[in-house]
Amino acid sequence: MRGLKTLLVLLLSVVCVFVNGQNFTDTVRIQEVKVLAKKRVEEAGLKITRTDSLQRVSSLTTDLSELISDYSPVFVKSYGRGSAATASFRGTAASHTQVLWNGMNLNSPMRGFADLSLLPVFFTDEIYLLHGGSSLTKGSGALGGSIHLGNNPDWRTRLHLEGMAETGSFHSRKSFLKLGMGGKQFQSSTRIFYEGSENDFPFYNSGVIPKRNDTLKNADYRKAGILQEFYLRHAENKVSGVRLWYQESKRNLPQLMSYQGSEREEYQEDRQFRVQYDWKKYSEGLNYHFFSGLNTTRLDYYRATPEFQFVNADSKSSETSFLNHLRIFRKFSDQYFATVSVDVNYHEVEAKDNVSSGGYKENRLETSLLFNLHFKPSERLAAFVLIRSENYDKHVVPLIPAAGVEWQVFREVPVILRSNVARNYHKPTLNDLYWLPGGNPDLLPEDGYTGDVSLAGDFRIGKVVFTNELTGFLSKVENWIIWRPASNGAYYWEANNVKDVLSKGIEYSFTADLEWRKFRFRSGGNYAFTSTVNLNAERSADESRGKQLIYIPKHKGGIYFSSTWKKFTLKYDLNGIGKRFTRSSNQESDFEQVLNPYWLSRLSFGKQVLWKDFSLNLKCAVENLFDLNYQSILWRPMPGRFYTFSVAFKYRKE
Amino acid sequence: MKHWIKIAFLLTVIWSCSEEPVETVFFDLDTESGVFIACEGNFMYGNGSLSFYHPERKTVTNQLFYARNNAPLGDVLQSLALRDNQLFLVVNNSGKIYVVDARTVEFKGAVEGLNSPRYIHFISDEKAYISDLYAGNITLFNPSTLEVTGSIELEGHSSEQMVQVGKYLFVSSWSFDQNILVIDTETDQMITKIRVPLQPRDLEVDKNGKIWVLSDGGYEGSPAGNDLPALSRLDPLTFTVEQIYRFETGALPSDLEIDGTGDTLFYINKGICKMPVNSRQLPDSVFIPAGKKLFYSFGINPVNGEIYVSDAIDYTQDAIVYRYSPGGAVIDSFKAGINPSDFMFR
Repeated sequence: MRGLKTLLVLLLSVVCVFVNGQNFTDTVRIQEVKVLAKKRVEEAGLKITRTDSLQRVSSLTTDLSELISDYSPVFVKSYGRGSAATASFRGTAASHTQVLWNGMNLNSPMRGFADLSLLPVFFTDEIYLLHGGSSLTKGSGALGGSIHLGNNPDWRTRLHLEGMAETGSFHSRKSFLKLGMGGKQFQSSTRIFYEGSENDFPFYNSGVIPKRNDTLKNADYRKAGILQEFYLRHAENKVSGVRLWYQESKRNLPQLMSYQGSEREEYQEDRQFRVQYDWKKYSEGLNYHFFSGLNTTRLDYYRATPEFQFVNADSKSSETSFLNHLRIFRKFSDQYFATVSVDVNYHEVEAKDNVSSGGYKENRLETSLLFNLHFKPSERLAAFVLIRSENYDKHVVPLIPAAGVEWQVFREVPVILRSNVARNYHKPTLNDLYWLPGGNPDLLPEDGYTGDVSLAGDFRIGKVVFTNELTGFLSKVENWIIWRPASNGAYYWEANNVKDVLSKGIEYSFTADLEWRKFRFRSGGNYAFTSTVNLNAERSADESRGKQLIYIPKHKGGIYFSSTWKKFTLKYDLNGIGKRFTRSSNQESDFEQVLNPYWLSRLSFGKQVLWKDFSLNLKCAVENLFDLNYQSILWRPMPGRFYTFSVAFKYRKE
Repeated sequence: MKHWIKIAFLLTVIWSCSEEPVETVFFDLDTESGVFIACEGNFMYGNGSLSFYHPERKTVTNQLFYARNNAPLGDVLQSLALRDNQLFLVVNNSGKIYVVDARTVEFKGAVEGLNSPRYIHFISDEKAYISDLYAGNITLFNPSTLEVTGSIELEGHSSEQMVQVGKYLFVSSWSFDQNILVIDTETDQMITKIRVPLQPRDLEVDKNGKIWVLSDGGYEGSPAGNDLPALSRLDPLTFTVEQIYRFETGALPSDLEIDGTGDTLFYINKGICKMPVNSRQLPDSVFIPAGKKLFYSFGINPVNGEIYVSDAIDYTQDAIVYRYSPGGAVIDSFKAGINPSDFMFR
C-alpha cells in the first residue's frame, strides 16, 4: 500500500508538471501582490488572504469550512461531514473568529461562534480573511481574525443562469441554482441550494471490543437555503440593495465510536433568516456606506432514547439581532484619508429546555465608534492609525488602538513589507454571562494584544510566476474564558476568566503559474506554524504551563497542483494537519491521547465544454484518495475514500 | 521542474511514516490490598481510564484497560463495582458496562444497550441493579451471564446511588428531584419514596443502620428550585427523615463517604470534612483543607481508614491523587488519569 502511495504521488507530480492548459473557468485570476500604488488605501497595512477564482470554483459545491481548511492557513475544527465546523485563526478559539456577511456579523450572540458548515460557498461572490489586528478595521472581537463573505451585483449581465448537481458516495446529493437578471440599473439574483446525505459511511471501529468494520449511524443531514438579492442603481454614484437569506438544516448527531448503549435519537435543527438593506454613495473624495439588517437564528436540539422512553433534552434557542452600520470615507488629499464608522447592534436571545423547563432570556445593546486615518505619503508607503470605542450594556470597553504600515521596498519590484499592531478584546457571549447553571455575570472581556509582520513579493523563474507571502505573528490574550466544572466538585460547569494565552507563529502562502504551449499549470499552497500556549498555570502541579492548547495543531498546510489541457483539467490537493493534543499537559502515550497527524489527498478530473454563451463542466473527484483512517476529533470516525461526480452549466448574456 | 519532484518526494517521505501498532501489556496485579481508581476522563472525549495503586509498594499503573485490551474504555468512567474477581466498569456516556478480570484486567464481557448508567448494586450472584440518570427505570441484569433480565419502573424518577438495608434498596433520584426511592429487592418493585432536601445524590449507611443523604440543593435559577445543600439522616425501617443538617449559603458539598467502621462521615466542602455520625451538628472546620487544590473526589480505605483524594488540577490533564493517613497527614501522592471519580478498595 505504501509503495502504491509513493508511486501515485510521484506520478501525480510528474503529470502535474507536464500537463497544462485552461481551467474550469474561462478566466483564472492570479492572486497578485499588487503594487502599492494600485492598492486601495483602506487595505494598506492589513494582512488579507483572498481566495482566488480557482480555489472558489473548486469549492463551489462545498461549505465555507472546506474552502478555508483547504486553501488558507486557518485551522478548521470539524466534527465530520456535514457537522459543525469552526475556524481557529492563529491558535485562538472558535469564538475569536468573527464571520461577516456583507459587513453584517453572523456570529451567534449566545454561543459566540458561527458554524462554517452552514455557509455555502455558492452563496458568496467574494471571500477574504483578515488576520489578527487587521480585523479591527471591520469590527471588534476577532482576536484571531475575521472571515468576510460578500455579494456583489454584476451590472454587465442581462441574464445569468447557473446550475450544478453533484452526487456522491454515502447517498449524497447537492443541487445549486442561480438566476441573475436585470440591466445597468436593476439587478436581481436568486440562488438556491439543497444538500442531503445519508452519511452512512463504513469505518473501522477501534473504539469497541472486539474491533470491527462498522457503519456510521444517525449522521444523515439535510440543508437547504435561498438567497435573493435586489440591487438598484439610483444614479451613477448611488446604489442600494436588499438581500434576503433563508436557510434551514436538520442534522442527526452520531455517537462516539465507543458508544454501545441503547439507540439514541439526537439531532439539531437550525433555521436562519437574514435580511439586509444596503446603501452606498460614491462622490469625489467622499463615500458613504450604510446598512441595516436583521439576523435571526432558531436552533432546536433534541436528544432522546426511545427504548427507555426518555427525553434528555428538548431545547430551543432563538436569537434575534438588529445590526446597523454607517461608514464614511473621506479623501482629504492624495496623502490623507479618513474613515469614520458607527455601529449600533441589538441582540435578543432566549434559551429554553422543555424537559427541565430551564432557560434564560436576555438582551444586549452594543455600540461601536471607529476613527481610522490613512496616510499615503508616497507611492511606496502607506499607513493607518485607528481607534475604536465600544460599549455593551453598561460596560465601557477601554479604547482599542491599532496601527499599520505598508512599504514597497523597491520602486520597480513588487516586494512589500507590511506590519500592524493592535489591541483587541472579545466580549463574553450571552451564554457565558447568563446560561443556567454556570453563566457568570462577573466575567471580564477577553483582552488581547497582537502584531504581525509580512513580506510579500512576486518573482519569476523562467516561465513560472510565483507570488509569495510570509507572515510572522505574535499575540497574547488575557482573561481567556473557559467553561469547566464549578469549583469544589459542584456538578455543573461554570464560565471563568482562566487562562492567559500566548500565540506565535508564521503563515506562508504561495501561488505558481506557468503557461507552456497549450498547457496551463497552476499550483498553490499554504503553511502555518502555530505555537499557542497557556501562561496562566499558578500551581506547580499544573503541567499545562507553556503547553500547546488542546485541539490546535502546531503544523497545518496544504498544497495543490492543477493542470489543464484543451479544457481537460486534472487537480490534486494535499492537506495536512499536525498532531493535536487532547490533554492540557500535552502528555502522550501509546493509548490514543493525541490525535495523530494526517495527510488527505483529493484528485479531481474535469472537462469543460464551451458553446457560445453556454458552458458545461463535468467533474469527478476522489476524496481521501489513499483511504486513510484518521480522526479529526477524538473517537469520531471520518470517511475513507469516497467519490463525487458533478455537472455544472452556466449561461451568461451581457 | 526539479523543484516539484523534490517537493513531491519530500511529501511522500513524510506521508509514508505511519504509527507503530500498540502492543498488548499483560498484568498480574496484586489486588489483595490495592485500590482501583476510575478516571472519568472528559465528557465526549472518550478518554475514561482505569488506574491501580498498590499502597505498600507505592506504585501506580495507569491506562490499565487500554494497555491490556488494546481498546479504549469509553466515554466517562462513572463508577466501579467488584464481585468476586470480576471488576465492573460503568461507562456512563458509552451506555455500557465493561467487565474485566480484576487481576489481569482482561476483558470478559459487557452489558450493552443502556442509556446513561451510573452505579451497580449486587443483590445476589444472579441479580444486580444498574441505576441510570436518563431512564425512568432501573435495569436488572445477571452478573454471571451479563444478560439484561428486566427493569424496575420508577414512576418518572431517575436513579443515582443505591444502598441496601435489609431487603430494601434505597435509591437517590438526583436530577431535578428530591426523593429517595425505596425498592423491595424480593419483588423488584418500587414500594414508596421518601421526600428529602432538593437533589439528593450521595448515600451511605452508618454503623447504626441509618442512611445518610447528601443533597446539593440544585442551583440558582434551576427550574426545580434552589435550596441550601443538606445532609439528611433517614430511618430505613420507618422510611422517614430523622434529621436534616443544612449547609451555609455558598457551600458546595459533594461526594459523601463513610469510613470502614460506619462511624464517621466524610465529604468535600472546601476540603475534606469529617463528621461523626452521632454528631449533633455539621463540622465547623475542614479536616483536610483543599488550599489551591481542586478536590474532585475521594475514597476511604475501609480497612485502615486512609483517605485517597483526587486533585483534578485543570480537569483536562492527569490528576494527582493524594493519600492521607486517617489523621490527615500526606503519606504519598501519585498521578492517575483525568478526573478520578471512584475508588474501589480490595
